[in-house]
Amino acid sequence: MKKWQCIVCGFIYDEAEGWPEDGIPAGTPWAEVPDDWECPDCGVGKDDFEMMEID
Amino acid sequence: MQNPLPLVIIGTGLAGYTLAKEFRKLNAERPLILITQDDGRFYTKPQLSESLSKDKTADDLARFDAEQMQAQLNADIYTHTKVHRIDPETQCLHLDDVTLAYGDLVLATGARPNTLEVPPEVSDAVFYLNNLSDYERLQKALQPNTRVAIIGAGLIGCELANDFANQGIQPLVISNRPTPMDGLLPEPFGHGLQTALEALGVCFHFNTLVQTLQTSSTGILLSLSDNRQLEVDRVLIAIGLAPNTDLAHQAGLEIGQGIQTDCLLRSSQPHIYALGDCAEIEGQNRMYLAPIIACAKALAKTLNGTPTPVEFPIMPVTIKTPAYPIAYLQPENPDSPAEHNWQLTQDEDGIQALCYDAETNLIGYVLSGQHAAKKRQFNALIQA
Repeated sequence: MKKWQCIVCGFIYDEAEGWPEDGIPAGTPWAEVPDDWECPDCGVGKDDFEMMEID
Repeated sequence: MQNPLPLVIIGTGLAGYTLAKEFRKLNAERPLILITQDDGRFYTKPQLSESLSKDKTADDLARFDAEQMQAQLNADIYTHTKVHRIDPETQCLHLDDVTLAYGDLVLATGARPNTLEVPPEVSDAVFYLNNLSDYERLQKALQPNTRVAIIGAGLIGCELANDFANQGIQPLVISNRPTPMDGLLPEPFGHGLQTALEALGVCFHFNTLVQTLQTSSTGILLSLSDNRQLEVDRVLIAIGLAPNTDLAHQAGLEIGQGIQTDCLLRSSQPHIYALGDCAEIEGQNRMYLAPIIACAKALAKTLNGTPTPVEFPIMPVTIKTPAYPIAYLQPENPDSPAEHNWQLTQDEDGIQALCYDAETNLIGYVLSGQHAAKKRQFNALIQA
């Protein structure tokens, strides 16, 4: 599973964890996260995230 | 009817560019102009505090240049351009050779670092860090064995101290306060941060001022008010920011701790708006990231014809000190601090401070160390 980092504030979306508080179950791939979902820490939209290497 | 005169935005920082982006999502036709004194590269400021140790250059941090932004936004971007005067009566901007008419004007001029007066011979060794050009200048001036002093132990001073330490440079941090983050966070947090940074080799000098800076044969000599003398190669000054309000002031706009606006981000002059570090929105100047995004979305709608008051969600702040992470959320309503009940617990994992209102609802927190990760569950509680 991959991790995606918000380029604006650094928040990391981990596909393995999802974001249940917004109804996104664990294991949800980034592509399936709704288009209108916003970064929980700063509010920017999905197009301001980018793929991050897994260490 | 759509206003045919352009929407003009002064400033291409995060505020200016995010507003432009949000506006274009709603309105593809209206002419859009951005004006900036710098090169117009798009970057995100939070990265400036943590990128030295990741060996990133300014080019690495600049996601898009002005030309790319022009194409993306379908806008004209005037780079390296100074606005000399705003004329609210005629709705014109006076640039070097040109007068530009605006239909609506947005001031996103940000803030500038507070400065210290230094002798000219020292100025090449003195740095600030508030934008990408500053970062570029600083990064090029550092080698593995460069000795660095940071003046100021607030948010930026501490984040940079951590970043320098992660890079192998152990900075001296000089502050006229008794602890880091004094006035920003309760003392136990400042103390915890100090301990964690000292473990990385950061050396603090508190309760002291820098009285003189002079060149010596082997570097820059700082004379402190506690009679100490410190020799370093580079001095970074991080003593706060002042909103850039000169243009607005000159144009007769009301200024408080920033360009004053209402909840629609309107200034005291028609067709002039403000957002970001330069603005005081309904009495508060918020020099943080999340408020900018919330304002940009609301203002874009307003400028497109649907007046939309900005509604701030809860906006936690994360301090980027990996040695001792801190997350905090200030209670929304500062009017009744006497009714706020702070409960603090401290253990080997860090400190947890929770703020409750008179009805025992959780309304704020400061969390450090391992406890910082709990902000997620507290955010959920507060939002419920």
